[in-house]
Amino acid sequence: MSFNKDDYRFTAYLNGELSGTELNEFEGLLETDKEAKSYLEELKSSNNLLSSMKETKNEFLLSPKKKAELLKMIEEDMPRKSWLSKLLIPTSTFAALALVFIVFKNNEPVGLHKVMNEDIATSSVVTDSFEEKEAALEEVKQEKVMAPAASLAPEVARTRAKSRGLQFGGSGRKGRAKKKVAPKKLKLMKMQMAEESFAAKDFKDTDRIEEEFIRERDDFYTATLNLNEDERDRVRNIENMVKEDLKKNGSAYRDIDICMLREMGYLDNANAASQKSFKATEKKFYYLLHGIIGESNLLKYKKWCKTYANKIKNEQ
Amino acid sequence: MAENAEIKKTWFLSVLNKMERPLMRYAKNFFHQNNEKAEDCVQFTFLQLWKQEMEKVREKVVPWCYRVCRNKAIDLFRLGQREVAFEFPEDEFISHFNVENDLAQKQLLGFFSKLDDESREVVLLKYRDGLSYKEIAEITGLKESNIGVLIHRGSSQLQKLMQAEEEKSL
Repeated sequence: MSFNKDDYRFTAYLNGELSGTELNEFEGLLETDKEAKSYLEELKSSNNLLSSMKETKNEFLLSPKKKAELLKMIEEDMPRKSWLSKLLIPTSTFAALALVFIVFKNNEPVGLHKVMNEDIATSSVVTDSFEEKEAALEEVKQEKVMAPAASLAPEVARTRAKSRGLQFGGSGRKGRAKKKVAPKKLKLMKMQMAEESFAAKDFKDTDRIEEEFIRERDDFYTATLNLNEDERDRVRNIENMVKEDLKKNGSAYRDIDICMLREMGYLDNANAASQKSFKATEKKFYYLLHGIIGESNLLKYKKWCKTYANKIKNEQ
Repeated sequence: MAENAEIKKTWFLSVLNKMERPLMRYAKNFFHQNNEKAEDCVQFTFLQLWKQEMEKVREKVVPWCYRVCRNKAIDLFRLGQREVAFEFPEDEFISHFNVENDLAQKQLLGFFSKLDDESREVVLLKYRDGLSYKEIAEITGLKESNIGVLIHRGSSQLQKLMQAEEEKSL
C-alpha cells in the first residue's frame, strides 16, 4: 500500500476542495493506485451520508422577545434627519420650481399659454379630492384637443393677466369658490395624478377609507391583540416606515397597511416595477411585525385585514 | 446619510433572516443546557454586525457571523469559569434531525459523540452548515490545511465506526 489513509486529500477531493496541482497529483494517485481508489469509494458512502444531514426543527430561532429587542436597538441607532436637512429639502424644491416657472413664464409660446389658461378657466378651482382632480384633468385633455394651435393675439393679454394671479371665473362647478390657479399648480396637479393614476381605477374616496381604517385598526390592536403602549409605539414605527415606502412607490394610499392593500387587490394593479418594490416592503413589514406581536397575533391580524378589505369592497 | 442607513438596514434584515437559524444552531452546540445564553450569543453577533461598516463585512458575512458568535460563546464560558467545550449530548443532537426513517443516518449521528471536540465542530460546520474549508478556517482561526486534516480525521473515524457496527450486526 503506497498511500496514506490519513491523507486529508481523500475527503477534500470528495468535498470538491482540491484544485490546481494538488488535484492533478491526487487524480494521478487514484489512477495508479487501485487500493487508494477503493479506499476513496469506502469513504464516499459515509461522506454522502454526512452531506445529506438535514436540520429540521424550528426551535433554532431567536425568541420573539429577543428579536424585538434587537430590532428596537437597531431602530434607535438609525440616524435621524437633522432639522437643517428637513428645512433645506422643501426650500430648495420650492426655489427650483419657482425658477422653472419664471423661465417658462417668459418663454412659453403663445399657443401654449392660451391652452394652459383656458384649461384653468374651465376647471376654475384647485380641487382637493382625487375624483375632482381626475375630472379636471379630463376637461384639460378635451380642451387641448379642441384648442387651435396659434390662436389670436388679443387672447394673449387676457391669459397673461390671468396667469399673473388675477381672479377669473368660467364654467366651473356650482357652489365652489373662485380661486387663483397658476399653470404651475396645474402642472403639479398633473404630476400628482399621473403618480396616482393606477390607484384611481378601483378605489375612490381614499381619505375616508384611510381614516376609518386607522380607527378600526387601533381598536383591533388594543381590544383583540391586547398590545400595550410600548408595543403600539413600535408597531407605529413600522407603519411609518411602510408609509414611506408606499410614498416612494407612488401609492395613492399612504395610511393603509400593505397587508390591507394586498387584500384589497390594490397591489395587483401596480406595474411590474412597483409590484417588486411592494413585495419587498410587504416582506419587511411582516418580518418586523412578527418580531413585535408574535406569530399567532400576526395571523389574527392578517385575517382581520382580509375581513376588513372585503367589507370595503362590498361597500364600493 | 439616512438613505444609506435604510440600505444598510435592508441588508441587515436580509442577513438576519438568512443567518438567524444557522447561528442559533451553532450557538446551541456550545450551550445545550442554556437556551438563553445561546440567544444572547446570537443577539450579540447581530448587534456587532449592525455596528460594522456594511462594505467591510458584506463579502464575508457568513464566516464573520460564525466567528463573532464563536468568540462570544468562548467569552461567556470564561465568564462562567467553565472549560470551553463544544458540548455534545448525543440524544438531543440526534433529535434535531429528521432521521426517524433513516437508520443509517441515525446511527452515523450517534457516532458523533465519539469524535473529539475539534473534529466534531469542523465536521458539523462542513456537512451540516455547508461551509467551505476556507470559511471554516476563518471561523476557527486554523489553517485551511488543518481543517482538511480535521475533517478527514472526523469523517474517516465515522466511516470506521460504521463499518465496525455493520460487521458486529452480521
